Amino acid sequence: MPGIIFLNHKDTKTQRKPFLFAERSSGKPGIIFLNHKDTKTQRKPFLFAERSSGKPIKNFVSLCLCGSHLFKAFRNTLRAWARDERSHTGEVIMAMVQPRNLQYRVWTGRIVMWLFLLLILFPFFMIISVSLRTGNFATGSLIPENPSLEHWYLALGIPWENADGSITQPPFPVLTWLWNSIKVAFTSSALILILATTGAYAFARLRFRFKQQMLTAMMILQMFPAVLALVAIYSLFDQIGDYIPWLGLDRLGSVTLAYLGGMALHIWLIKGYFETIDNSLEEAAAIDGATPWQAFRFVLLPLSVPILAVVFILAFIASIAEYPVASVLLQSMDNLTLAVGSRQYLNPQNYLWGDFAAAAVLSGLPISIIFLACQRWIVGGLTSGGVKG
Amino acid sequence: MAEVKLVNIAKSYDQGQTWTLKDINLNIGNGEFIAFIGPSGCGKSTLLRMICGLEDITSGELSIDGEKVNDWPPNERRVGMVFQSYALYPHMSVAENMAFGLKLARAQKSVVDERVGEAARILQLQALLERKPKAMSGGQRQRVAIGRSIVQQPRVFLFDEPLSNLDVALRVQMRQEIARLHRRLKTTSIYVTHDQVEAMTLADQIVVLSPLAQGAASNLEQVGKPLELYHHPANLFVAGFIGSPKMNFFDGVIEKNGEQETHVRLTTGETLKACVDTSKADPGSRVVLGIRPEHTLAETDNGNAVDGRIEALERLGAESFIYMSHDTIREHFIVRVEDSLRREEGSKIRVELSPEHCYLFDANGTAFRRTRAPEIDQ
Repeated sequence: MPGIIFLNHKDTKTQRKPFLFAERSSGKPGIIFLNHKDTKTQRKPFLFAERSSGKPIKNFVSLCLCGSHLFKAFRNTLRAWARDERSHTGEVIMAMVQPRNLQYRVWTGRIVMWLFLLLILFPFFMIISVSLRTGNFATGSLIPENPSLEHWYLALGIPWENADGSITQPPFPVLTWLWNSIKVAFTSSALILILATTGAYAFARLRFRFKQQMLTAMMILQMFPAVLALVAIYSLFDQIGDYIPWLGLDRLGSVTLAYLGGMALHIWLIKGYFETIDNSLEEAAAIDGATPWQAFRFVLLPLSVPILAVVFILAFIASIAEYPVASVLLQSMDNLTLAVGSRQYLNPQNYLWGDFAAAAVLSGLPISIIFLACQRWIVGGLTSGGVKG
Repeated sequence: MAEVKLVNIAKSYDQGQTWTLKDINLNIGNGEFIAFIGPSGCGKSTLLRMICGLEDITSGELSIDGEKVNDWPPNERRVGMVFQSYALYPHMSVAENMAFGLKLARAQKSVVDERVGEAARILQLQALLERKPKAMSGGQRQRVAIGRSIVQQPRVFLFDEPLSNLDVALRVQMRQEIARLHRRLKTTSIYVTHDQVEAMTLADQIVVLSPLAQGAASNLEQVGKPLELYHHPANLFVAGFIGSPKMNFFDGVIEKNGEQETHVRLTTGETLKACVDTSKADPGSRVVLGIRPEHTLAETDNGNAVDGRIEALERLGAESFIYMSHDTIREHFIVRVEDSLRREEGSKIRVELSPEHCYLFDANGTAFRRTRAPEIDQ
């Protein structure tokens, strides 16, 4: 079994400095790091550890830092060893050069990342803090002095018994709103996915008149926010409702349909992805006997999963967070989405910040779940190997 | 297996304003191996894509096994195609790649397994069946692409420059594998390439295409067996295209015509004999005399020689090429010699052009019949 030795002095033959050697050790597997100083610079090697006779590697951080190099080197060693046990003895597998300032760079990077993370996370912690405070106060310390679950009880629809024994009934059907939001977001995202994918296929692969003009028009129209069309949207759905009641005002169907209008962006996104996939794959499928639909379904779609996951997440987040259109179309208390409903807590004379915060955290829940579920689909390199580059 | 028939096939991408292919007539017999060869832009790949249905046929008639298939979509033509870029499905394993077409056709699992197994055995892919394309080398990928068309048992195999992405050693090896495959399966095959070695070694018949010139009737230059194209090129284009290095061409006029032998006077005044039948041509008409570098004899004079000055030398070990200058030469004058004796650049030598190895073309580029060249069995 070969071991790996890190040497930081010059290679006798090539006179290059630190190298990773693979050596047949005395039958024992393991990683061996030597602690020699470099002959010229008198610097210690970045990675060091005692002989691996059961002792742990001292500098674990440094091991992690060059983990991928180490892994590759180790793998190559094993492969070479598997091919031919003798030929690689003492052979130089790869050069390992660890500049000294790497450590500072890594730490600087980490600190910046932490600062950045704090910037993003601070509002989130604030909201959680507000939702756990007794009473409805927007300001206060980040860690509540006397935390209470009052707002969470009310948000989840459970009556709350106050300290003086009086009972506060949940003022609003928050869970119904949440469910409405999920229904609308899920249906509209799914429809957006289906329509945008097929639409993008047409734009990416088919030839038809006015294709370029249509693409440009979609792009330009998308630049105007939906708010500008609020009046039009309102009166449109008012009219539609006369004929198709479930698409009328104050119905979730109307909101879902209105959200489909944001599809142009997604068509552009998916079209761009489709265009990176070599057309010859579908041609090969056609010659294999696939109809255009089968080529789309069995070849193009499986290769486009990452962008489909991204589009689904984007559409889902957009419709969960959307306020203006939903606030105009929806009216009765039981039909509101969470984004619109939460506004009910903020009466002009009575800002129920605590309840509002609890509802706000709840609205993040479905997004997080969808994100976690879709994350495993967002991977790169799906199309590699199919065609010669 | 099938016969493929092309009648007056033409292709235009802009409703007839310019033509890519014009008036292509071909009869490809059952089990034949045909190579389309020509320089870039001659439309050979387009022609292949028209046969498999990936390009529309602007006019003319394409039939496979006697059925007109002009308007059939590719998935109904039952042809197999191997792409230059392999075009493997990256998300499927080798076995899935090969079984894809059969699964679409709802073949029984036993049939699928049997055919995939058979193809894998022929192409030595058994050990790789579970691999994804990205974990394979170029040669292996191209073998999978070939296997994918084998399992479909197509009526016609189409190869679109299948070896041009491989390195030289692998190309030679894959060339032999394709030849072996064709001997074994005997499926009608059409092979597009710009590499004449591939065409000469693989094909029963070679179709030479040229980029369509303005006003030309067709860009089909010649159809023939490999050696027929070499010894009896129909015209100047084929003569220049087949053979490496290219044939040398001299400008001249017929001094004395004849049925067995022709005297050609070059514009420099030198007179050369050529064993060609020019009985139908008039003395004094302009002609082009051609001779291949491998048929020239340097520093020899058997009475049919020209003078030239050495411009450059290329020593390849087994042979050397002398680049010469001569006043009536078109493009280049290359002389092949087997020895690698030291020759001075800039010095003058005499080169013998044996009459029986000379080719002669009239002013339109059409070849005169050679009288002493080897006859090719038809």
